[in-house]
Amino acid sequence: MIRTLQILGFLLLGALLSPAQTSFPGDKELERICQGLVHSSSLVVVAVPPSQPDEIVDRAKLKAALAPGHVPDIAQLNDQIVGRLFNAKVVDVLKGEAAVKNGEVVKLFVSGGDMVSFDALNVVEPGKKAIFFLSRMSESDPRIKDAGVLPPQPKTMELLPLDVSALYKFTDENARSMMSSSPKTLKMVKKLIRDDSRAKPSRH
Amino acid sequence: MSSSGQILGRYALPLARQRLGSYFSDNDGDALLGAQHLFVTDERDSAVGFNLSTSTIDLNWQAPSCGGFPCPLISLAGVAAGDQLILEQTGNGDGSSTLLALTPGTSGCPTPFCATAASVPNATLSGFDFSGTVFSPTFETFLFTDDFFCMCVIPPSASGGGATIGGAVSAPDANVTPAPDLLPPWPEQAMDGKRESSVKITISPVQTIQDGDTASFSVSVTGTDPNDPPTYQWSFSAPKSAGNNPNVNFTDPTSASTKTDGHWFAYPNETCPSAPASSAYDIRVSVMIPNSAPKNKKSKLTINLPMVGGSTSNALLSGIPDFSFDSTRMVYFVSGPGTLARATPPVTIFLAPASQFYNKSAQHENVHVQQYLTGMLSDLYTVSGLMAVLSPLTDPTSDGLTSKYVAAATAYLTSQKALLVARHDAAEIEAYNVSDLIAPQYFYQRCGVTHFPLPQ
Repeated sequence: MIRTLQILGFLLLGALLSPAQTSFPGDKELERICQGLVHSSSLVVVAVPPSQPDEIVDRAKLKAALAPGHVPDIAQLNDQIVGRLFNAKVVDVLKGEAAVKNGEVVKLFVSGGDMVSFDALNVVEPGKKAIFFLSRMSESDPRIKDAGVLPPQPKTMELLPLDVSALYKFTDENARSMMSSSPKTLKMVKKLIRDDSRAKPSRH
Repeated sequence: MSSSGQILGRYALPLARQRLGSYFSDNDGDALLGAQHLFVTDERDSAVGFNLSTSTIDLNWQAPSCGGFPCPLISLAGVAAGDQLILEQTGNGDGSSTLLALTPGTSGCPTPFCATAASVPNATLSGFDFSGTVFSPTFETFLFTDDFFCMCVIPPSASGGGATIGGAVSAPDANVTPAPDLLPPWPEQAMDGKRESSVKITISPVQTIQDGDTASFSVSVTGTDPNDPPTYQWSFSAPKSAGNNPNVNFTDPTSASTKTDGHWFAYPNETCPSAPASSAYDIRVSVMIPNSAPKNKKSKLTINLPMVGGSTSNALLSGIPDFSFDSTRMVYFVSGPGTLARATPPVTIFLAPASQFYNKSAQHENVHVQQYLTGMLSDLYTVSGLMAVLSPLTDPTSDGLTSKYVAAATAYLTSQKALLVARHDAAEIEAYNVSDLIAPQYFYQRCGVTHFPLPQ
């Protein structure tokens, strides 16, 4: 059953498992991918993830796991984790300046109920600067509808409230939505953002 | 009939034999479309014109009665300016043929024929039929020497079995065979293109599949003779400079429907950095309709590769530790590993089993499995490691110990994740060192990358 849930979780939430064998696209393909991401993202930032993320825990599942007289299987403990919350420090806002400023924190939800801590395509690595292509997360998203925050290294399973306002997720959770912040990639993304803003008439 | 296919009216055509030799637009001379008229003949006795503007029959020609055998055969030869119907009557009793020009609006033609005596501008055969016995090779060459159209049939012995049609557009010299003129300046409305437009050929839309999957293509042809169906030939093409041996195998290359395999090719032919995940073949079908030039239709077959070929889970641990009560200390404690166990890590391959990359991906993931079992990740997610954090736990109540167990186990899993992230690059390089040697050496190659999986 747990295995089934893990597979189902993968199908629903995208590539959650790792290590994984991936492809490394060429410049043109990368530009094509970025072009789509730039267009679809409401926020594009260069940011540094924190040393450890918080876990987002489904309250109902946790309650079931902690039911009196019941000792949960360790595999079940993973099932209650619906994702992770990275409070990433913004270094450079490339698109969506109204949402966040340099030096502020952007709250990033990374889906993942599996035991694995990262997505095979979008590995958010602690302390590693990267370009994030983000979109606002709907407050009605079922994954966070009844969820709480479990800080790193918890002593108890006491959940903190999850502030769903200004919460972001990857623009495409099932595909690449992170890029290296190398000068070359950064230059390309900035150009694509300029092109995209020129092509799209301002609504203001 | 309206553009949407609604039938707006039905009109009986006064054909003496109440039948058509075959159906419209099969180009054998029993029906023709003019600028304003649909002309139809029953091949023996009648030819009628249905005025498409007024929905009336304004041409009704009846052949002279035939007393002998065989009777002449009638076919529609073409439509001249002013919607004059050129009608061809072959197999007369003396072996001659007659060409008639019938003018709509004249209704019943005067006796003997309403035939133009001299010439018919731009009137050339557009339909004819050699299949009738009337026009058998026994007639051999014959020239009609009146001021009418001239038709020549060359004996098989002289032409290698072929036959030639001559088209006269002005009063012919009775002693000269007109030069063949197979591509005359037709009246626009009677050109082949107009007639053939009633043949509809539709091919399947663009198909997109993953490498190793199959696709289905079909072609639908309407408006052809059901007794003489078309034949088909499927083919493909890919960019000339593409790599990884572009190929499409058709299961039924000469049928109206066929399946294909899905073989991704590299275009541009680049290994590092990788060629795009999508490659597209042009899929063509050539439709051979009897007595007509082959017609080609084109579609596309796009083959995709998933960005992630496979992955290995670290969902290794399962089970429940043993809890006991220490009556000396009056506390519950974790007394042993119970059913805790570490399993072989599950592998998921995101490629179709028939994919050319399946083995490459499976071998890559197998390296990760071995890393967990005996290699660089074998110290992660272990029962002993978990027990090291669970063993010190105590609580006066069973539920209290359970709560501490859940918190400690969750923290342990989190710590293992952090270690896994730290070793991720080294683990991947080791796996790529194995899989990069396996063909096809495209797309899932490491390409010198040392930090995974972000593109540089």
